[in-house]
Amino acid sequence: MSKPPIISITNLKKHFKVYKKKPGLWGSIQSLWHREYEVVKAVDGISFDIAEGEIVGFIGMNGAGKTTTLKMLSGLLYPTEGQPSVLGYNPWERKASFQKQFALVMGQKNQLWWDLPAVETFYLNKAIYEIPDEQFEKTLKKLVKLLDVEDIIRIQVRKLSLGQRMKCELIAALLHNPKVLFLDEPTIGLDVVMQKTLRDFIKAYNKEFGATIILTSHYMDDVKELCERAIIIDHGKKIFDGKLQDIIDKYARNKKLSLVFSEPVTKKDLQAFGDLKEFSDDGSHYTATLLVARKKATAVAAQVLSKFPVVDVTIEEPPIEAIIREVFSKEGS
Amino acid sequence: MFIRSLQFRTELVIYVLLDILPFFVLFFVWQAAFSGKTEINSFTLPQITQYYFLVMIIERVTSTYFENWRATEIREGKIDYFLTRPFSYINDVFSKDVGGKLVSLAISLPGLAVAFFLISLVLPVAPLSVAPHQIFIFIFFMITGYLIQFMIALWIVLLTFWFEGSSGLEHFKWISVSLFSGAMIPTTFMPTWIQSVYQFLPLKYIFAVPITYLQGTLSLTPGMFLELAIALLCMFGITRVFWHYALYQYSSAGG
Repeated sequence: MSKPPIISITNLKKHFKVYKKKPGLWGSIQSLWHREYEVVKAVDGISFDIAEGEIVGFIGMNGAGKTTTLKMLSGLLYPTEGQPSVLGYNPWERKASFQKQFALVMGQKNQLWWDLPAVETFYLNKAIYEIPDEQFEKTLKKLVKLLDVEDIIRIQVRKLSLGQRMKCELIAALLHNPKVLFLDEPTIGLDVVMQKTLRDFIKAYNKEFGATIILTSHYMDDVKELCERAIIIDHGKKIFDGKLQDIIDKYARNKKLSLVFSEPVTKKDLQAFGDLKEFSDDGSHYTATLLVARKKATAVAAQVLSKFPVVDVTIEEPPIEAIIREVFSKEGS
Repeated sequence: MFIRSLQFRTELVIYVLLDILPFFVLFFVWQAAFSGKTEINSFTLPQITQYYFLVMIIERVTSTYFENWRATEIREGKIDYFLTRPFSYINDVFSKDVGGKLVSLAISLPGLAVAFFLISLVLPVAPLSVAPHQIFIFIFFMITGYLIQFMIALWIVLLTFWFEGSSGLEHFKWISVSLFSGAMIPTTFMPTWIQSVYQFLPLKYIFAVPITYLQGTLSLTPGMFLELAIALLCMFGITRVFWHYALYQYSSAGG
């Protein structure tokens, strides 16, 4: 029997009325008596359920509506239509009992006190969330150890690097052991090592506390490593909801054949078997990459093996980034 | 570090001087007005000087200056922190303002006391002879006066949820409070129409009522306390309604 949903939204919409100003001084003067407005459908009828303990990747281009959805689930924005339910609460009511069970971390918004050491914000959060002393000490110790920030939590936040700050942001958000975690681009601007550290931490937190996590990120590595399920939204509408592998099965048209030859081959001969993406012949190494239709990949590989002096061949799925790009280009056209 | 500390101390001295300077300017203006007269509208020059000194003290306790930066923080979507946590944004505005005010009072009140002593040596200031219960009532009016000013300032901040910029209203507030509370000029000097607005609004309880009470020219009645209580309750109710509807407008810009 599947777990009941902990987050449930049906036909969620958020439309903003935005003012379109004409450029220049004359535009400013005209706006005094005539203003043009446009309705931007940031989120336009999204529905999904998320079960307890799931980590779901929220994928979409800039302005697709990811952050707006998270803001509605956190009770920051009032939906134009639709009623989200998180942990059985209507987020908009902002009940303290609900707010003590979730956390929103936004990679682009600082929540720590800029001029004070991060540990001061931790103590402030302890008071705000009414965390018992024992639980606070235990959780803080654990999170500090997991993120290896013992040396930096007593340094003024403005003197920390972006990565160090993000680690402290996560600690501040998790001190009250939230059951639901909304992470909006938590790895933005971080180097690959720090991204990996945060990913490992998020994974460990999910495992230890059984937290339900929605993660938005532009880095596909985040989604690939953390999320079994992905929701893709574009222009405020959901265009995919399922396992990451299903995205590949549904949208990837080709497979990638990487070939290494023992003797020179010609481009022309290879082009007969598929779309030649890469070709290299430096006089001693002969390599090529072919994109071939998924269904024909095995047959084409067999033909290439029999016709050319192949010493190595690998058949791979195309990178998820390329598939997502293709999804968006299809939806956009 | 030395430069920063020097800058801070210099600013502090200038800050205290700026508090006292208008008092001297007003004194010389009034001295000119009293030229050849011993009394205007039942005020003597020492009484007027005393009036403005009390205005200066009340101003220090009740005035608010958070409108501009609080409006900016709403416009830029920086109040998400409070809206996603079990802690009220209005409580934050209130507690930080009161905290800042206590620090500012701790710094400026000793300076003001010394200033009053020095001024009374060179200028004719009527001495204050008040009973302890009068001081208690004066402090009570300063607290309620602060609440009135705080809620008006908060309304200006909350208007930001609807309008792109509302901090300009800070100056409108400043003029209105100065004019209709008795801070700019004692009410007996005002034209009749301003006096009728003054009587209608609760702003008089910020300056004119406590000062004239302390000077012994006004007797307090239970009706006045009732009027003040009703005004505060109404203002509190308006603030609650304002806040409730303001949140529907929040766009949480950025991110």
